[in-house]
Amino acid sequence: MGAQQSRQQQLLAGWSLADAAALQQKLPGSEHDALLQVRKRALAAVTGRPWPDRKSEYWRYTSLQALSSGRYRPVEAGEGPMVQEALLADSWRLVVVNGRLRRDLSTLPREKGIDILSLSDLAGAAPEDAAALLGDWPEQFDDGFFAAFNAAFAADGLLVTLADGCRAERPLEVVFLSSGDGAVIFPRLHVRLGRGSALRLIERHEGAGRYWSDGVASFDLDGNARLEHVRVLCDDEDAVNIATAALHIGADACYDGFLLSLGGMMTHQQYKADLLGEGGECRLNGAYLGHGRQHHDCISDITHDVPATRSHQVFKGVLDDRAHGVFQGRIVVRPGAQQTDGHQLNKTLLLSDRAEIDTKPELEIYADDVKCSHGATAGELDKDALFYLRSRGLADGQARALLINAFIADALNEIGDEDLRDALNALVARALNRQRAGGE
Amino acid sequence: MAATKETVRQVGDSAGEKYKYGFVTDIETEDFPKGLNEDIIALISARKEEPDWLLEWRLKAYRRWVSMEEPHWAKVSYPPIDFQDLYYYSAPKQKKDGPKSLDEVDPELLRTYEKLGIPLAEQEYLAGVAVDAVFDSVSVATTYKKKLEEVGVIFCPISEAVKNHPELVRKYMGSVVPTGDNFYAALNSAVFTDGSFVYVPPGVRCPMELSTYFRINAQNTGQFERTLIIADKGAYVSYLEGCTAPMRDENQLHAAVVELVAMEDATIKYSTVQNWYPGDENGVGGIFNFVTKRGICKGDRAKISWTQVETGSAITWKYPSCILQGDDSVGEFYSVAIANNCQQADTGTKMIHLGKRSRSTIISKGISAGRGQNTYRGLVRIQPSADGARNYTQCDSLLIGDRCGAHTVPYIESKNRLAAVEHEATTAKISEDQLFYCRQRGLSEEEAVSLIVNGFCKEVLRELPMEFAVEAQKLLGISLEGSVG
Repeated sequence: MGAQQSRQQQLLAGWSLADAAALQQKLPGSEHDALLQVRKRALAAVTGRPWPDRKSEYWRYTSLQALSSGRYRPVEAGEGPMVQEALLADSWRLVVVNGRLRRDLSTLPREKGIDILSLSDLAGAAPEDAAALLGDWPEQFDDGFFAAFNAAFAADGLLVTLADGCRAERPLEVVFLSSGDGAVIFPRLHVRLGRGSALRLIERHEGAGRYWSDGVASFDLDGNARLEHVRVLCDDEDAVNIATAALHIGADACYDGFLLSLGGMMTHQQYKADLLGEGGECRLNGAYLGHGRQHHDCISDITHDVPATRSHQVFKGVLDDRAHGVFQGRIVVRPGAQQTDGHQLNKTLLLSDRAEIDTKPELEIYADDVKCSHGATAGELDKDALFYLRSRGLADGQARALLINAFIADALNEIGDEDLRDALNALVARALNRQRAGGE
Repeated sequence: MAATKETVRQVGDSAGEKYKYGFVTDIETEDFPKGLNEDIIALISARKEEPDWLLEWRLKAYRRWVSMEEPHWAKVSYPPIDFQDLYYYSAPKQKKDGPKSLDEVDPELLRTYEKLGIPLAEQEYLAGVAVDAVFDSVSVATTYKKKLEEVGVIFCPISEAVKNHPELVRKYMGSVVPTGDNFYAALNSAVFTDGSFVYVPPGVRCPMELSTYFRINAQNTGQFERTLIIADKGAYVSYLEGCTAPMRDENQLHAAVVELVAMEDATIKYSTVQNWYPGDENGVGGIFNFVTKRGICKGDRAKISWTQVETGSAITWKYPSCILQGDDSVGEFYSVAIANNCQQADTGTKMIHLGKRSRSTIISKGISAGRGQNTYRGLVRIQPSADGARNYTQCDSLLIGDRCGAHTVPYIESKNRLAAVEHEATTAKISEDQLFYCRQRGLSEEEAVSLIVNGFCKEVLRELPMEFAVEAQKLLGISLEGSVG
């Protein structure tokens, strides 16, 4: 019996299609036919075909071996909470444990115009809407394999809606807590910003154990809306975090995102952004710190669909020990999307002989009146800079720390909001200290 | 070169005569039946009086090829190629004993060369360039052989090298591009009919630029050239490759393989000007050019430099690469690629760093006009052994018109912290200001475009040997005619 055949009968190692179908029946809302049908459609999209492998451009540098052969199961309910301090003191807070919203641990926003719904609420009130939300997974990456996988088994999810003109006063922090050895967790986050609305959103991923989080997120920005979004990955160092995010950016709207990858054994983050209205802007910046055998993979695919849109990406990484970093960025300028401005930069510091970086900054341009550029560098710390600092009396360790901090700060400085920037700076400083302490 | 002036004049003429080299010489060719199988390969091998080991080598490649799939990852689209609908061997008919001098060469063939501007009969005027003219698949004449023989340089058709220098061919052919390397390389290995062979002995600086003119002629004949260049310790050789092909409506397949081997302290400079028929304004006709070019810097301080000006072909699929195995070895890639009308070019390079302090430079200039699609696809890989390796890559794209495309797909893989890798890419168009300034100084629009484009490409053009550089500059202008306004 070939591996292919066994794959068709088993979705996860030792977990059959019948088990999968049985679980789907039990998921909240599955009593509504519309939801059950969507879940079945999602299941059909991931069965009868092999998992993406290194032949897929999106998994060229990341192995799924550990996931496809390891023992993983969807978990039915959340484990005990691990309450973390809020990143920003004055924020509203939503806590999601193993994919399910926990109102008992959350502080729901009490601002006019902000509406928080869980997918299970929605399933009760408007099953058709819930089905539509669940069924709209991005098909960009490997025919949406991992997004469909999420849609097939997600028990819950969050829908954050801001009414037209609503400018949230306080930031919203969504904490995704995951736990359980061998658990597969399906976080979902949908954010819809009405015309002219604005939100600061912090998304944190933390947890304990050898779990696998397979997330889906969507961010829809209507005209003139503004979203500041930081996504902080501090997963357990035995955990895997795979996520697919879809961004739709309207006219004169601005998405200002930052991805900070600190934790996890393997992270694989896929962003698909569409600039759909003139004057729209997509800022997608990030930093990744790797040590031990950590593997951070970030993929961005930004499409300029209409004229006069901008995109801006700066990704910086510091890799130590046997850490492996991957950055694959793509900017597509569609025919007719004139006056596009697209910039992309990826820089990585390799601190050890066994660290590795693979980067592919890609441009695909079908219009002539555009300004597009990309750049990538990889290497160790600048010897001259190090020498300069040493000559000023700094110890080797101090000099290196200073240069590494400055290197990463370049990316963090892209965060427009001062409070968010300070909070992330503190997280990065702590992580770098830990890395240094571990390395010495 | 006289040929250049003629090219400019004739190409510049009316629309119907845009491609000067678009004529078909009516001479008898000796074709095998269409299609490809082991019998055809045996026939090719027998016709060329090849030793058994080479037939075996071809058959091995063929069996690999049969099991391989045509690659589709490049950003090019074309109707499916029916590999069984092609002729795999065609040679100008020869008198029984073969031509002993130019007088014996088919006069039709000579007239073809005359039209092409290769003065085979007036070799002395070729300004020190030795020409190994390839007409379809069999080399018909080689010049300057004697002078090269004096210093020990071997420059001959590869079929001749198989007979006279089997030990060299056997040792190196397939050592850089293995028979099963990729679909087109496997096909070439199975059916290659001829090409050039160069061996430069230790310490010898080749006294002249070596050059081959390739020409595709017989209808429906894929051309499968195989070139092998070996520069032994401390040797230097500069090789020029230039191509033209007659106009016709049916697409022609070309799958060449070029292998370069540079030993310790050796330098190989390989320059290409490719202006094969690109098809007409509507994308009818034109050459399909699927080429595998690779060089290895085997010894320390070896250097391989690729320079290419790609203005022709309907489809270009070509990634001249360097394996930098020796310590302190150097790889260079300078490229200008033009995609005008319906042309599609997917080209770039691979630099594989293995040796310590190995260095590579990549300068790629892509120009897109009309509905042309131009893709730079490159790989820079730093292996853990390559301490202190260095790469600098610059890819610039110029867009002319709003229906063309320019794409950049660089892969950068670094496994060594002591290596430094840099990649930069920009995209721009010819600005109204630049054009206005040139027009105001009395240049016509086309002269202005040519001037700006040549400026854009000058980092690459200056790497070309002089004669080539002049031709290439003019070619750029011609290739872009009618793309503005």
